[in-house]
Amino acid sequence: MRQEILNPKDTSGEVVSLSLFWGLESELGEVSVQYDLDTGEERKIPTPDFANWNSLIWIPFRDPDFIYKVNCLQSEKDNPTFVDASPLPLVHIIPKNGELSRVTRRGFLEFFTYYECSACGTSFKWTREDDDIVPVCPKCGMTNTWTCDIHGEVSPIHLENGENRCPHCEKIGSPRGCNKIRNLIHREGVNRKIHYVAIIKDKVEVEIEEDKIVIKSL
Amino acid sequence: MVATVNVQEGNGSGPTWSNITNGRYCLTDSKDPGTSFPCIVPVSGVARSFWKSHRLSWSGVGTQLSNIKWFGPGGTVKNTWELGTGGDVVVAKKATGPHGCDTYQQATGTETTGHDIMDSTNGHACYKTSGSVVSIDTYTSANPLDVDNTVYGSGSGSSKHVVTQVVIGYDAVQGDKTDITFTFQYDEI
Repeated sequence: MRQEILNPKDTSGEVVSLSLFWGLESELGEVSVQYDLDTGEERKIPTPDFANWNSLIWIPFRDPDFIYKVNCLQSEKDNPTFVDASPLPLVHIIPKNGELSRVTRRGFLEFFTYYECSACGTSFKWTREDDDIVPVCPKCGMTNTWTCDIHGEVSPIHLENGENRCPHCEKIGSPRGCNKIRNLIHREGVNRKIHYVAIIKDKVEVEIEEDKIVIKSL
Repeated sequence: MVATVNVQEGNGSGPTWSNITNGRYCLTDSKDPGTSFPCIVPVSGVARSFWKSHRLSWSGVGTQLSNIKWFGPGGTVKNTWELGTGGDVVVAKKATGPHGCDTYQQATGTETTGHDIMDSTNGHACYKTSGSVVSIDTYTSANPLDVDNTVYGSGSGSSKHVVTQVVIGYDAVQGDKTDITFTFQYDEI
């Protein structure tokens, strides 16, 4: 059996906050940064396309005062994008002169279902594997239970085709299906993630994830 | 600013595009039929679900949204879902990428099977002539399907859509199946 306990924020589909912001140095040495470092005001990127940047930087939010300024300004917007302090390192990419490069954020939208245990409240994903029959709460061991109309709560015979039969009725040659009591509630979840990407055209792509940095040769 | 992005399913002849948080392959053109209209294990050969059309929809893009891709859960879905001989979950692709479709076609079929995406008469016009279907196992986070390479500007919009379908072999195991996860990815700035 394979189970994965979920953090509630990983199922809510809430728009994630930003952990890093971009900085770009043009070939003339001019530096653009996603936020005004004094006021926290957000700026648009000079160009989203490939350009002849001297260097690209993804900078982690660290300074609590700066984070506060950014979030205060964002809270005044209709669709705010809040920011959070990050333990990620600063990532600085320096293309060779003449190499075209760009930065982008890469969004991921993942849809899935999961179980929530009605006894202990744990949310978990369950993936059926070879010897699995039913999902089990990984924290308290709760399962769905079954009742027979005649014999009450029973430990059913789980058939491969998904039927759950009363063992007592089966013994007397009168097969009867059981009613499932849903102690494990099936719910829908959405997980949104953002990775921070820097690309040197046709050469290399650096993708900064929550807990790792992936470098791909293109 | 970070864009607000949702996955939508197209249904009906219009179509109506609705935000979804899950989907269920079935024998009707509905985004969420519950346990009604279940797929059927055929007596011989294979049967299919009605196909599904999914796309990205967004608002609040600051400057640009582009590079839209899609991938399945990895592993071997036909085994996970015990889909039997010839069974699989398939995704449609064009002869050359990007593989998303920009001409919606409503899913159709009968009470026992959906029409094959590749059927020369009732199939999907985007794919049936020169496209193909392949197992969704082909596309993973390391090798996603190119859906749409259009560069979309600021504001709101929607992408081309991905068309998928379940194929069920005669010896498939019936029953409610473990959930699998589909993921859309996109670049935005």
